[in-house]
Amino acid sequence: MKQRLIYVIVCMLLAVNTMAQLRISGRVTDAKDASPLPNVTIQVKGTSTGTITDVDGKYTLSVPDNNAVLVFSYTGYTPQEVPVGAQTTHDVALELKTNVLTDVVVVGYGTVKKSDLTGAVSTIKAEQLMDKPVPNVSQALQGKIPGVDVNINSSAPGQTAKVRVRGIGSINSNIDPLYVVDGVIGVDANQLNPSDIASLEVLKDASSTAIFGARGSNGVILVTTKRGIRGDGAPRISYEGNVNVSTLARHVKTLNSDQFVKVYNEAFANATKFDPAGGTWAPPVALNHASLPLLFDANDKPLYNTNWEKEVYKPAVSHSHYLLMQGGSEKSAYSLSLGYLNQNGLMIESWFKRYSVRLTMDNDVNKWLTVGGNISFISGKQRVVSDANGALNVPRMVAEEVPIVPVKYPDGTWAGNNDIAGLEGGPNPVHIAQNRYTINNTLLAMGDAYLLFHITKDLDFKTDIGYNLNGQKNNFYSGIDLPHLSQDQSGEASITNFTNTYWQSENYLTWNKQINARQKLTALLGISFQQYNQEQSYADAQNFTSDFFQWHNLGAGSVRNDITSSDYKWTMNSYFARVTYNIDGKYLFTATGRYDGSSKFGEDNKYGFFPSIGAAWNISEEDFMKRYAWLNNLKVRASYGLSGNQEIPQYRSLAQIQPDNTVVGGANQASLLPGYIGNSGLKWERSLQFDAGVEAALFDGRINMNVDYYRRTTKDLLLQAPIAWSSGMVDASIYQNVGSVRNSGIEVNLHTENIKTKNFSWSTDFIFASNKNEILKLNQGNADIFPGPNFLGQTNVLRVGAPIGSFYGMTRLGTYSEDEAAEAATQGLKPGDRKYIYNKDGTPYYSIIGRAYPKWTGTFSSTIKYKGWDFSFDIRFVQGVNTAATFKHSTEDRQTLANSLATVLNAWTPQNQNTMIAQVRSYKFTQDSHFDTWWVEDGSYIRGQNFTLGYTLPASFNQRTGITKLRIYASVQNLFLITNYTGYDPEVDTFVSGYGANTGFSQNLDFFSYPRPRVWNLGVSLGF
Amino acid sequence: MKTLKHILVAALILLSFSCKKFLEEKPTGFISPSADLAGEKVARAFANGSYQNLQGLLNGQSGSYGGNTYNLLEFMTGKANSDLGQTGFVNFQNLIYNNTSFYVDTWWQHLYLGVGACNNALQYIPKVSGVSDDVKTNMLAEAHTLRALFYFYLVRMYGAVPMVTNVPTSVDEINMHRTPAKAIYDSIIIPDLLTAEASTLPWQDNNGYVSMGAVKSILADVYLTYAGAAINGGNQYYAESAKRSKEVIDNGGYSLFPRYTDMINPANKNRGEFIFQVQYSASVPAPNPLTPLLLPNYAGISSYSDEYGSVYPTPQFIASYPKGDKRVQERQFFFTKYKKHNGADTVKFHATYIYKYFDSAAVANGAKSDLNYTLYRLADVYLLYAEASNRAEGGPNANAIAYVNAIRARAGLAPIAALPQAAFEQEVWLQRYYELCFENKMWFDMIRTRKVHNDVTGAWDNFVGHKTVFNATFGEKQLLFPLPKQETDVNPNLLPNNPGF
Repeated sequence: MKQRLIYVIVCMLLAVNTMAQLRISGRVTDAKDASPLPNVTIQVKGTSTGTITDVDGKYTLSVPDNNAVLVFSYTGYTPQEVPVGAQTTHDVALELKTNVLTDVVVVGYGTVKKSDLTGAVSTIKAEQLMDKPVPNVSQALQGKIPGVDVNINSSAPGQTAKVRVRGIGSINSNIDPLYVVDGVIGVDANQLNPSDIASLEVLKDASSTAIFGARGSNGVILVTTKRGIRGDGAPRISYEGNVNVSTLARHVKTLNSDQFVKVYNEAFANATKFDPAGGTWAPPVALNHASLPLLFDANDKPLYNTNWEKEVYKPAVSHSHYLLMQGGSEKSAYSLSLGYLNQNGLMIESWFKRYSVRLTMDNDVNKWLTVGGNISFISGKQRVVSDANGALNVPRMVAEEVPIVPVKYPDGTWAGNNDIAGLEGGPNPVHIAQNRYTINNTLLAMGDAYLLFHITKDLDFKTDIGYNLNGQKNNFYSGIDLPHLSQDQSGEASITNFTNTYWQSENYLTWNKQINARQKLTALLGISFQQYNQEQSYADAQNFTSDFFQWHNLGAGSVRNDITSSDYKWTMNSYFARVTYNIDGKYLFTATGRYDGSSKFGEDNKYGFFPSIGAAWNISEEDFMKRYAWLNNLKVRASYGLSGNQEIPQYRSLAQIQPDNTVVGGANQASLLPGYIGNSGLKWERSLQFDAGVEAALFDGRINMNVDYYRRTTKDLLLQAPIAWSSGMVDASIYQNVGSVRNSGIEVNLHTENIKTKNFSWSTDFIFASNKNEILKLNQGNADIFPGPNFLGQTNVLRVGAPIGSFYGMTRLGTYSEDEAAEAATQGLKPGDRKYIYNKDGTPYYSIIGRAYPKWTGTFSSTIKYKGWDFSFDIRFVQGVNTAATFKHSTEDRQTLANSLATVLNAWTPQNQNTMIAQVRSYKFTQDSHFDTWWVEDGSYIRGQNFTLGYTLPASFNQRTGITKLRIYASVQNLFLITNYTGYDPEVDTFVSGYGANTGFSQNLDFFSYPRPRVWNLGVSLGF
Repeated sequence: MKTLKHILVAALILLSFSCKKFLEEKPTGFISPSADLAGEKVARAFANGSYQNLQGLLNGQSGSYGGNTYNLLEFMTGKANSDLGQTGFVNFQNLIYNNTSFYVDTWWQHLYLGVGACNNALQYIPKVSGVSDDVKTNMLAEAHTLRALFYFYLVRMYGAVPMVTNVPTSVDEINMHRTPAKAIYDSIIIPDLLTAEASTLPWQDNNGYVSMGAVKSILADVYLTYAGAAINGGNQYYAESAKRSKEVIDNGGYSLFPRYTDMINPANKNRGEFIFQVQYSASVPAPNPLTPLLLPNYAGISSYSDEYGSVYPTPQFIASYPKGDKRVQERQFFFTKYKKHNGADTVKFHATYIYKYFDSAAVANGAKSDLNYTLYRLADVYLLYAEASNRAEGGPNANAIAYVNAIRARAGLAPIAALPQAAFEQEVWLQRYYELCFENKMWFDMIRTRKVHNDVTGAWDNFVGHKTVFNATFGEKQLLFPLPKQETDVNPNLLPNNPGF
């Protein structure tokens, strides 16, 4: 600022002296989007003559003669030299420097120049974030930042992804990072229209996160949204639109009709072998014309061979539109955006619609006061057809509906497994998708209002009220003719309402002091209050006369099945401070502290203190480094500090007597039960993190590299640990601080600009992250903890020395051969049964059989530009991870109940004894199915994340039309997937269900997933 | 202007610090143990909590299809079959179940939920103000009775178990060691029931609350078991048992239903022959799960979309009934055919199915069974008396013979005359099999008496060594179920597990 001021003064002085010279004028724009660049310095080379551009990027300047050379320079852009020549007009487009060190980075409660950072902070700008069509910010983040691991576990429209920063530092308190949207802490940024995001910073180390103390230990994601532009030019209007088609990317093979009939009959034929009484077994209903004339022709051939994948996963078209207007005057700025998303899922009848409006305002009232704020209104509507994991839901029935039934019979009635006696009887998936659904309505108002006082030249005081008002209404209906789902109830409808209100009051002083020419000090001191309230109600009715009313009129159901309501509140009160000290821009120090209080903890443990320190050395600024001209930047930094976690439900420190109802005398009577044991000693979970990083830029920024090492030890882990059932507590768990876990790893970010000419450029990015997670200590003499989610027994174990997310189960060796009949008999089994490892005493042997989190992840991406054309791709690598195909339980181990995977064609037979799959048999003699090594598969993969080809129309076209920018592009997501996993996608978690469900341990458990589509996209960016 | 600025800034900074008690939690959805409790309704709610987990005796088994805690005690007898593989039947049929098998976890969990709720009632009812001592005494009697009942199940199934008598307040209190079964009888089950016996509870309760009839029936059962092979508590307890059952018979005002099908008429809930039942209601809705569970698998005879066929008798058991026994005639305790739900045709089943929980209204329409689940009925108490008095007195007295004959008469069987002690006992046991079959009684009779009626030979085999019709042989291992793995994982103090597991 000071520099610019001096320039202006100098220019004015010079202008007086050079009245008789050549007048040059023109406009300076951003080469990328042709937007005007204000405050660009223009200097006549070799002189001190110069000027700056105005808000429209325009300038006029006098030069001595036409031999003069103009130097255009602007912070963050590559300087450009232009000989004056004969022309008196020079329009110049400046190129943005990549990875420039002068970038300003948003940190908590302020901004800092990237070169002055002492912590590990990664930044993403809007255009990188939204390089493919995604409905929310969590999905957009995937593969973009090293150490930020994103799992898109469901491809249902509108679904949010799971984001983890630097591994799992917590056992099962919430492991999501803390989102801060324009200073509003803890809001769900996934509900925002991601197109409204201007930039996003991920704070990873303790020095950066400690300012959010209590809630920063899982990393902090700061979201900065688009705002107005000061100046008096015309408002900038831009439009982003795209339309895309989702198609099924992979197939999971099930038996066709002929195969099904064959396996079904074989299974009954085999039953005698497995019947201890040696009985002979016939199917409950013979698969032939006589028994099932609607399904078999006169020759007993199946009439239908339905491919349920084809019936359910159909190409779906989605589109989105985003319109943004940004403008302002010298003293104020405003922006207005409108967004619309219509996302249709691959699974029929699943969709998500979102309407968003956003308004921002910043206004200088006078010299000492700025006021402003923003408000977002978002209305979302999501139709979910795939309900609870484990139920007879749509993705499950795609695999399990038998191929011999059609979707509907010729007379228009629904067909289903129920039509064949003896089958488990789930309705067909098309039927379910149409008649059983939840519509999730969300209405959200979010934003803040602030007052910023410039008390003195160096001292500011800001008071900021942030809010997030969120109403949700979930409407559920399940039709009267869906057997096994809601037929017995004659239809079921329910409505769940949530009203969530959050407010925060943040008040802080900022002091920026240039002590002398070499030293600079900034200090921050603040206080914060936060409060969150939720009110919830639920009503469920059954027994409808027809499907007419659905959930619209619960009163039409004659059975009022269930009514509940609840509300809760949590509060936080915090004090925070930060001091940074900067000598010559070479030696940088940051000290941060936050004293946090949360209502969630025990009486004596409500407050925690979270300090951190960080230091950095800009080696390349040292005089002795100046001679290495090829080294543009070299910085080392280190930080150490403490951050906390309080993301557990409220009231978990308190013992609870819980009201309920019990039937006596034919009616419900009020009862009181021991609800929850309470833990008055419950306290903060604390993470101690060390981080060291090196940043380097070489050869004029052609090579940029960032390497970080971190080690984070989390103590007093908050865990919802199961307690013995003998406690008699309704909630047989306790929130405890148990033991500690360590995450350590490295993150590498390498950017190279391989070719860089006027018309052609090629750059590549490589992102790599490896995290090692190890449980160091658990309570009670380090005894194993089995945290669930269970699936036919334990699935996960927490064990000292092993990582969080360790799968736990039996080891399947194969099947017993006829030669091993005696060995099989010791387990009460027969040849053709699965063969497991057993302990010496004959009890089943359980061990860790896989890991849900990868050893390393990486993204390789590249961008090639030729004139107006651009081509880029992202390839994502996830390696050293397992995915548990638990769906094999119901599709390999349950013949004659439903359809099976095609893999059962390789089941044990006397001629095929060397196989993993047990001999097929009537369901009556199905053995226990176990969570085992056969289900826990290699879940490593390489994915063609995104491929984009774009074309930006040349400036000449723009000038004719008044358009400042027009880019059209085509892209494809999930173009290929290379994996050994046999399910639809190894990146999966089907145990995510319901509102606020604890999903800490369900990662990579697959019990029939919503397949990930391949998405073909066409888009346009337009600017006026 | 400058002044305004200073005032504004100062005011805002000051405002920031003026919140007190901001972090206090004031929950609205539950009661804190330290809250003031007042009024009879509050005390009643605590007492009601004791009943809540009686429904756990018929609790669905997670991970199964058609699995219910009910299944376990029938599967074990070797006299039951199942149409469903996903009930884990094969494991029990072949006696290869272990500590991760179905049911052993759910039984344990729900019995202790019951114990916990009773402890809760016993702990808080005395603290409720504004309730007379008489009222409290009877409410406590209900909770004591139910706690005794839950523990009675626990010791019979698992042997030594943790003796929890308080609502725990910390994890350290929970991870207990096991207390031997006899000590549980001596310090909880019997004292609890004797306390309840001292109350002024009425002999009958038509709403389904614990009555004096229930207290004494349970006590009669407990003493008989205590005297029996599992505990060998002493011969004097046969007399204690007989004393209680006689009081129920003489003073309870209960009477045998004339027809067996009276037991599946919802109008008779909590009255007539029924002394104590688990409460269900179609209108709440809280339907009895047994009705669909025992319908023949996918027979298409009912309004239920799930007809499980989860449990049904072996043909050998049916064949073991004496000729002419009404109980095995069509649609008494069993049935073999029924009319199709949508149509007039009769469906003939591939086996004999249980008719004891067949709510014909629910089967025809609505799919919600209104029947209660009986824990004690007069026929059971008649037989408890006959067995206990026979042992106590060295032979059957006239009443004992009369009660057995009352049961025989209802079945259309000729009366018996005075038999020698041993022969009379076997007749009583046999009548228990025939009368109380598929009421979750038979397995407890087997382990109590250590005898098993062999349906094929007609002999009374020793429990250990008895071979079922599925060619599986009972061993010592079968006398107690394994403690569930999930429980021993959480509380390793419970190890070692029961013999054989």
